[in-house]
Amino acid sequence: MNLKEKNDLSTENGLPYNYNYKVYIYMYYIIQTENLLAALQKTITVIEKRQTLPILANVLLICDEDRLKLKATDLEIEIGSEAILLETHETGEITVPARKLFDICRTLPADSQIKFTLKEGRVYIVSNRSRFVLSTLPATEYPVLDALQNPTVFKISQSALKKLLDKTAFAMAQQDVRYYLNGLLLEINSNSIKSVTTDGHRLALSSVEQSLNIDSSQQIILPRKGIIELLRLIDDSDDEVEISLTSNHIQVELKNARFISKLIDGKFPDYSRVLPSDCPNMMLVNREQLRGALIRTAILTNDKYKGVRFQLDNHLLKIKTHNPEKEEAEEELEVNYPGSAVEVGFNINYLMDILNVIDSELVQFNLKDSGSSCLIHNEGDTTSQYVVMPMRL
Amino acid sequence: MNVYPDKLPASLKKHIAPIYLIYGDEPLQMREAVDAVRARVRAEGYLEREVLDVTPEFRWDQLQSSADSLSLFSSRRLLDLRLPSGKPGAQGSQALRDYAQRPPEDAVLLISCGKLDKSALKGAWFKALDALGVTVAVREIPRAQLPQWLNRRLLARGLHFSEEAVALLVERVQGNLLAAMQEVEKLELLHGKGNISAEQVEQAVADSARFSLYALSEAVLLGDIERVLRVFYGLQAEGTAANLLLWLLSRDLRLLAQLSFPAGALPMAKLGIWSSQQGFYQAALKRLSYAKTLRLLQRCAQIERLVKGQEKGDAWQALLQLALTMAGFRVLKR
Repeated sequence: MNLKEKNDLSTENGLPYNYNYKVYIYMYYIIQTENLLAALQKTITVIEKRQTLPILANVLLICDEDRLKLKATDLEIEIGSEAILLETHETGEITVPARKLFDICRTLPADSQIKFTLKEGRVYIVSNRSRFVLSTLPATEYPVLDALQNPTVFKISQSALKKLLDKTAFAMAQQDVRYYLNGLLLEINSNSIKSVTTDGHRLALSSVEQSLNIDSSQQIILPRKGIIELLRLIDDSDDEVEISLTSNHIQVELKNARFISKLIDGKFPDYSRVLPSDCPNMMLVNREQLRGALIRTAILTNDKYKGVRFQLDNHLLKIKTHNPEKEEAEEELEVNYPGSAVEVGFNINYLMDILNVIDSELVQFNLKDSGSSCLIHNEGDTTSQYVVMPMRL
Repeated sequence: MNVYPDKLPASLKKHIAPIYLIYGDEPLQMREAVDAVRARVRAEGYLEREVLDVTPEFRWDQLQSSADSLSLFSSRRLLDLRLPSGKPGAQGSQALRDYAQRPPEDAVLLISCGKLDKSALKGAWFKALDALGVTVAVREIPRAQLPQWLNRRLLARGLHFSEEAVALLVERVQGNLLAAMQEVEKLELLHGKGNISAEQVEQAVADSARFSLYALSEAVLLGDIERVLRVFYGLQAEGTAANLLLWLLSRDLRLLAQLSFPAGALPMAKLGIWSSQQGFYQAALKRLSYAKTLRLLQRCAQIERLVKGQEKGDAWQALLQLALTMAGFRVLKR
């Protein structure tokens, strides 16, 4: 086929040259590249690198009167977004390879315009002197999650939601056989929302006070990938998002995007049971000093074995590590510790993860002994709490 | 401490060792042994199980790390290490010795491991594990002990098979204990607890039996007419090529001819006949004279022409006649 002859869409009136020759055009619009790119960025991260069905590599494009709606899915999660169109000549819907469309938009100048035409099962993309022809699959075959039936609906500010996820997402399990740990527990009560994650060795819990107009408290588990996608969509603003819940789906409605995810069907362990209540030894330590000491001592630990020894006595914290080559590191920190002498081992990675989400200058450690869990939180503030099991020394 | 597979449940009941090493290449006993350990420790409150698969990407530091990482939810844990190759290598050997030197109090280490050769059994890591824990070797059950083994299993399940029934089942499932237990379970479902006769085994097990060519050879040589028919029709139904059957029968005839050669027969071992099969040929020699063997070999040549379309006639019919004649059945002469 002669590409130039058949596909040359450059015309004077903005229409494909053969528009007048009664070739039916199913979809035709013009859009600002940066608008399309922004909408694509929101959705296509959900698309897996390898798909079980060919159509799952595609993004669904629906051209309405003045808006382009996009949807991408991996059958577990669906993300929809919107972009404003400059001109709409023919409405319609189609799916195209998402990654390729994204790469085209990404590399075109941001202020350029894209003419997007669908005819005879192929999509023609023209911008200035760049031309692309993409294969398509029919929109009717695209798997779209159904609308939620009788959901529980409430509103929460983006910043509050972001805090709940940010403070706890790191402690989710990864590919654990206890599948219900590979996600985040969201507990919705009439006056608060709590998020909890655990991988069996550590636990993170964060809560937000908010009065909600709901009848009974509800616990749901969001899958790990859904949390990562959702964190990409929300920011620190005070804009409200609307959350709808059913027993097996969650939908988060944002200004220009909609996130729907299946939930993990399982019983999350009773987190209140593992929050230690009896921790007689309290230590206050400067967060940045502790972080620096841990980074340095971690150099002389092993790849897979990140054990660190804490020796606490009389306002002094000694941090020690060693590795199989018998190399050793030791740091001393002045801390506020009036308690009795304690020696306890920790996994450095777990402590670093916690220090990354703690925002007060001083960190509070509540310890008992070398075999009991340790409770860590911001100084004097327990809205976010972290429990770490020690390592055997 | 070495424990026999069938003594493992009793040993588990007495006390739980910090390490269990179960090695060998017989899948049924392997599965039963590791399941017994898992079930027992779970009952004792070892609720959390961590699986460590020794693949080429596996880092042995992970073992120590898992051993030392205490759990939030359960005070006792099972570390389920899978070492299918049976070769931990230098690093693994060191890691296992380190583990045995300082085993965690709250965890049981269960290693399911492929076959270990003699040198591995003398290795430092094996000795360290054996000194501290329980080692269980699972081995193939030799055919001679199979009936006894099967009887013990049946007794434990409250089933009673007649002697013939056991013998029949043993013959069908030799070398595949997984299949043996599956058949026993099937029979239990079909007939419930109680006595099972040879016929019931025959009916239930024949359906799923797959015949090898050599099963025909065995039946023919032993002169078991019924079995010859069953195996022959089984092979025909499975779509075995007629020339394969012909090759098998003519091979046996040639061997028999050499064994009965009047001017000095060759010993069986010289002809490459396994000791386990020598009895079959012995039985056939009682029926078939040298002269008869030669006549049947000529018949083979004719069947070959049938099989290859050089002569008109039913090759399968001719093959069956040959097999039955060899087995000592008097086929009507044309």
